[in-house]
Amino acid sequence: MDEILEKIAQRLEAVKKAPTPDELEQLRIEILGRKGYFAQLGPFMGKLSPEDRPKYGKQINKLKTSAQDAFDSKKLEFEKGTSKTRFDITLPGRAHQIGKIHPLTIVEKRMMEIFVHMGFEVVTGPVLAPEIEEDYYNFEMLNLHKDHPARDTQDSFYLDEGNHTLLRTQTSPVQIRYMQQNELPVQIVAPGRCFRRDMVTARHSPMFHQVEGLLIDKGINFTHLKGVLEVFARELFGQDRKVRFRPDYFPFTEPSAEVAIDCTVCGGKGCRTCSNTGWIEILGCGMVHPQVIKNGGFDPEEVSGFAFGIGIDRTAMLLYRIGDIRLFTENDKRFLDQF
Amino acid sequence: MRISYDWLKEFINHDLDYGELMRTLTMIGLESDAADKMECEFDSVIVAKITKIDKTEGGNIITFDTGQGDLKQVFCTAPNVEVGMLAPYAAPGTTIKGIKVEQKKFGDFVSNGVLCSSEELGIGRDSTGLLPLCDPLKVGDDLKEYLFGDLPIEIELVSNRGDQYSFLGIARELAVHLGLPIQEIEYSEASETIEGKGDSMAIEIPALDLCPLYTFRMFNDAIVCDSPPQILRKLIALGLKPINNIVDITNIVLYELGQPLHPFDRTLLKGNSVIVRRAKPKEKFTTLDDVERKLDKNDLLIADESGGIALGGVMGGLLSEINWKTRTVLLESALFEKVGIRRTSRRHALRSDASVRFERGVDPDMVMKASARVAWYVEKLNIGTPSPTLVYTGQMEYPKNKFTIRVPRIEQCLGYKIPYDDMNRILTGLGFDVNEIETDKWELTVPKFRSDVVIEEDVAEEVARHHGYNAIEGTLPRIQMGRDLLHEYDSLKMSVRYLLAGWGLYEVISFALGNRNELGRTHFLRPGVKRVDINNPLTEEHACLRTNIEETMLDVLASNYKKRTGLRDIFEIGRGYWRTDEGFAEKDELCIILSVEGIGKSVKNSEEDLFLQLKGLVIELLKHLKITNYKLAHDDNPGEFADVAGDAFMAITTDNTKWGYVRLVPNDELDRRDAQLIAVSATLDWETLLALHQESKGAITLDPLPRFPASKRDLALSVPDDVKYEDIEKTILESGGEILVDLNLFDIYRGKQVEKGHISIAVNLTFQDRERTLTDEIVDERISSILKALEKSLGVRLRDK
Repeated sequence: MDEILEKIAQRLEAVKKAPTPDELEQLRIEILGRKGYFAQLGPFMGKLSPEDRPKYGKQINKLKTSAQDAFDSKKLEFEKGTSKTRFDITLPGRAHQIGKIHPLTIVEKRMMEIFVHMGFEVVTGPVLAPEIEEDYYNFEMLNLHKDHPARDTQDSFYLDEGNHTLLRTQTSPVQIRYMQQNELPVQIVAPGRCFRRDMVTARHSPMFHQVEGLLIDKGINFTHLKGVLEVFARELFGQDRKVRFRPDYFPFTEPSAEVAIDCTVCGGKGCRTCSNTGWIEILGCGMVHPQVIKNGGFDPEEVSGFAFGIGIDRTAMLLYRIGDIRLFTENDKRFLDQF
Repeated sequence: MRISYDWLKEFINHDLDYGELMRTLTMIGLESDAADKMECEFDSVIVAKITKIDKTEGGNIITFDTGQGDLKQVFCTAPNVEVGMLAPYAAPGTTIKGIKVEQKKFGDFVSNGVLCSSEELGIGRDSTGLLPLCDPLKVGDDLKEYLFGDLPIEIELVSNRGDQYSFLGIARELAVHLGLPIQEIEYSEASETIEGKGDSMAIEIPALDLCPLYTFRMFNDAIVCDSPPQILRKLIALGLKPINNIVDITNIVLYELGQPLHPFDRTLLKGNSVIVRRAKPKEKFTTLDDVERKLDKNDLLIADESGGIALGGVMGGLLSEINWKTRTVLLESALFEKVGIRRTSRRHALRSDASVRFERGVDPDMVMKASARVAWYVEKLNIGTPSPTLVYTGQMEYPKNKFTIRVPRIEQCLGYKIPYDDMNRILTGLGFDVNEIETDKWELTVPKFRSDVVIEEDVAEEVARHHGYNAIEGTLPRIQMGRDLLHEYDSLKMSVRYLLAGWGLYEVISFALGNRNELGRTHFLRPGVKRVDINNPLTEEHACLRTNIEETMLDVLASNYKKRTGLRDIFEIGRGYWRTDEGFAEKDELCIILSVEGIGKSVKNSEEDLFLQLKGLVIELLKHLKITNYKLAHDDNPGEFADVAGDAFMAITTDNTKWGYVRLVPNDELDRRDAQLIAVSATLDWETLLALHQESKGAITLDPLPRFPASKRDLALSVPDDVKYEDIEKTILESGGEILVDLNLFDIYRGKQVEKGHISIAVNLTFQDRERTLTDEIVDERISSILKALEKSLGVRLRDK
C-alpha cells in the first residue's frame, strides 16, 4: 500500500512536467482512471485495522484532491495555450468599499494640522467650548453689550426666559474661558459648531462651524497676526495666493481686519464668485481688545495678542466650489461620495 | 449705506474712476461694492420745451420742441402748462410702466404721444400736472440718461462708525487717504437761536434722558411740489423714491450730513407746543408706513397737544406729514439717545434711515448744521422762506473728549513704525486735534463724531488703516514648544473616523436643531433628562436641540432613502444636549447606524444579521482601542426605556455605569420617517470611551510568543432551541481549563438533518500550553470534560454523524 502511495507521489511530479495534453490524459488514466493507482488502493483499505482505517482514509483523500488539482491546473495551462495573459485583467477590481469622511471634517482637519504645526493647541469639548453658552461669555465679555448694534448680525437662539443662556453664535467665548483658566502663552485654535437665528438659505444656515484662534503673550503685535494668517492662508489655499488685509470692525479686537485672498476662480480678474472684486474674504481677525485681555485675567499693559475667526463651512464651499451651504447637513450620498 | 459716484464729487473732487473709488474705500475700511441701479419704469422719454398752448374742448393742444428740428403736438389737460416750460415727453412707441404709448385721436386732432407727470413716470407722487424740468436739462435730453445716470455704491459699514453714515463722513476718510480737501458745504444759518419758545411754538422735553436736544425751524410760504431734476437724480441714485420737494430735501441732507430730520405740516399740529415725552402704556400711534403701533413707556414720542406726531428718531406719523397743501413747515432736528432708539427700533422691528444713524450715534454739531442746510436748499430752490429763528430745548454744547496717548505704544501694538509726522497728518485729517505734550506723549482732542476712539489701540487702528494695512510686513511670533497641542479627545476622534470609513461607513454631520414634534426621545444613557427647547425659535423646523445624535442621523438615513441614494451605513461623532434640574448639559458621542432595505420575508434574518454585524463592529472597535474593561450584554434593566428600547437592546457597561448601547431600531421610528429600512444603531459616550482607552492603552506589555504548537479541534453540537450561545460559551470556557485559549463560533445550521427542536452549532477550540507540546490525550480529555459539562448543564450534545 505504501508503495502505491509513493508511486502516486512520483507520477504527480510527471504531471507537472507533462509536455502535451495527450500525455497528460495518459497520466490521468494511469493515476485517477478506473484501474488507476487510487482504484488499486481499495482492496488494501479493507484489510486495515479499524484504528488505522480513518488515518489512511484521510491521507488518501487529501492526496486525491491534490492530484485532481494538479491535473486541473495543468489542463488549464494547456487551454490557455501560448497567450501571455491568463485571465482578463480589465474586469473590475474587487474590493471592500471604503466609506467617506465628511468634507467639513476634512477641512477642519487640514486647518488643525496647519495650526498645530505652528504651535497652536486645539481646544474643544463641552467644558472649555460649550455650545450651550452664557450670554455673558458669548457677548458681554467680548464687548458686545446688550444694546450693541453689532449684535444685529448675531441674532441668537435663547434657551431661557431671562435670555441668559443661548446657543453660542461664535466660537469667540472660548477665548475668555480659556484665558481665565490658563497661563501664558495662550496659543489656541478652537473649532466647533455655532448657531444663529437665521432663515435657511443657500448662503446661511442656523448651524455652522467656525475655528477660533487666539494668541496671547508678551510682545505680540500686528505683524505677528499678519505673519501667522498669511502662512495659514497660503498653506490652505496655495503658496502662490495673494493675501490682503483690510480694516474692519469687531467689538473684541482693535485694530481689526478682514483677510482676503485673490479669487481662486478668476485669479483676481473679477468674476461672480468674488462679485467682481477679485478678492474673496476668508476670515476676520484683529489685535485682542485690552478689555477682553483684562476679562481673560491678564494685564493688557503687560501682554497683548491677536485673535481670528474662520468659517469652516465657508472655507469648504470655497475650496470645493460648493454653492449651497445646506448640502453639508443634508448628507446626500451623492454629495459625500465626491470627497 | 448707499452713496453715488457723482454726488460724492460734490464733497471731494477726486479723480478716481468708479472701480478705483470702490477699491480705495474698501482698503480704508469702507467695504464697497457696485450696487444695482433703481429700476427705471420708462425708456426713451425726452425733454420738451412748450412753445404754444391752444385751448380746445376739455383741454389744450400743446405745441412743443423736442430739439429734433420739427415741432410736435399733443392734447393735454394738465393745469400747470406754460409757454417756455420744460416737461417730459414720451413719443408714440415709448414704453412706460410696461404700457406702450400710442397715437391717439381727439376728434380730428391726432395727439402725437404724451407729456408726463412725475407719478406717471414712477419718479414722484404728483399726478395733477406735468413734471416741470429745469437746468441742467436741456431740450432734447434723454431723461433716463440724466436721472438714472449716477453710479450707486453700496458700502458695508461697521457698526461703531455712525460718522460714516453720510457723504461728508465718507469724503472725510477719502480726503485723508488722498490728501485732498473737503469741498465747502453751504448753509443758511438762522440769525437767532431762542431757547424754549419761538415762532409761536414751544418745545417741552420731559424725557431729556432720551432726547438731550430738540430744535425746530419754521419755513413759511412753502410751495410743496415735485423736486427739481438735480434732487431727483440724487434720490434715484440712492434708490429712494421721490416724495415731494420738502421731504426729498430732508432726505438729501440726511445723506449728506448724517443728521436725520423730520418735517411736519405746522397747521396739522394741535396747539402750540411740541412735547418730547415717553409714550403712555399702550398708547397707540400710526407711523408713516400706515402701521398702528402699540407703544410703552420705553418708546419716545414726539407729541402735540392731541397726541403723538412722530416716533422719536425712528419714524414720523401719518397725520402730520407734508402734503401738497402744506404752507408752513416745522422742521425737526434733534439728538436722540442711542440705546433708546435701538430698543424702540428693535421692539417694533422698524429700521429707518433715521434709527440706523441715531443708534450708532450722531454728531451733536450737525443738529443745527443740518437744519441750516435744509434752509439753504429751500432758499436756493425758492420754495419757501426760512424763519430767521431756530428754537431749541435741551443741551446745545457738548464737550469734546480728550485723552493722552503714549506714541510708542502705537508702534508696539503694530510692530511697525509709522513716522510721527504721518501719524499726526492722519489724525489731524480725521478731525483730531493733536497736542504734542512731549515727543512721545500726545494729547488728542477727539472730534464729536468719533466717539468710538477712546484708547490707544483705537488710535493704532486709525493710523494703520490710513497708512495701509498692507504696508505692514508680516512676521512670525516666537513659539513655545513642548506643549500638548493636539489632545487625544480630538485626535482619537480623527482616528476613529478614518477607521470607520475604512470599514465602509459614511461620516455624516447631521443638523443639531429640529422640530419639537420629531425630536426629543430622551437619551438611553441619561435617564430622566429633558429636551432643550429654543425659547425664541424662528421656525418650527429649528425649535429644539437633539438629545442624542442617533435621532438626527436617522433623519439623514431617511432623507437619503427617499432620494434612493443608497446610503446605508453611517456614523457621526457629534453632540447631544439636555436639561436637568441642575441646568443645561451637553456631551459628545459616537453613533453608528447600519441599515438594509427592509422588504420581503428575509426581514427577520436581516435583523439578526445586521444586529450581529454591528455588535461585532463595536466589539472590534473597542478591541482596537484596547478597551477591555466593559460588558456588552442584554439590558435587563432598561428602566424608563422599557417600552421604547426594543427587545434587541444591549448595554455597554463599565463598573455598573452604562455608557453605550447597541439596539435594533424599532419599526415605528423608521415608519415615522417613511423609510422602509431595517436599522441597528450603536451609541457610545465619547468621554467614557476616551477615558477607558487612555486607561488601558498604556498597559500593554508584550506577551511572549508561544514556543510550542497549538492544537485545534472542531465540535459540531446539537443544541436545544432555547439555549443561548452565551451559556454554551461560558460552559465551554469554564470546563476547558487554562489550556483552552480561544473559542470561535464558525457555523450555525438549522434544518432537517438536525434533531427536531435543536439547532447545530459548530465551534472551533484552540488549546495551547506554554510549557510543552500538547498530546492528543490531554486535549481529548479536555474535550470530553467539556462535552460532559455541556450535556449536564445545557442538554447540549455532540451532533451525530
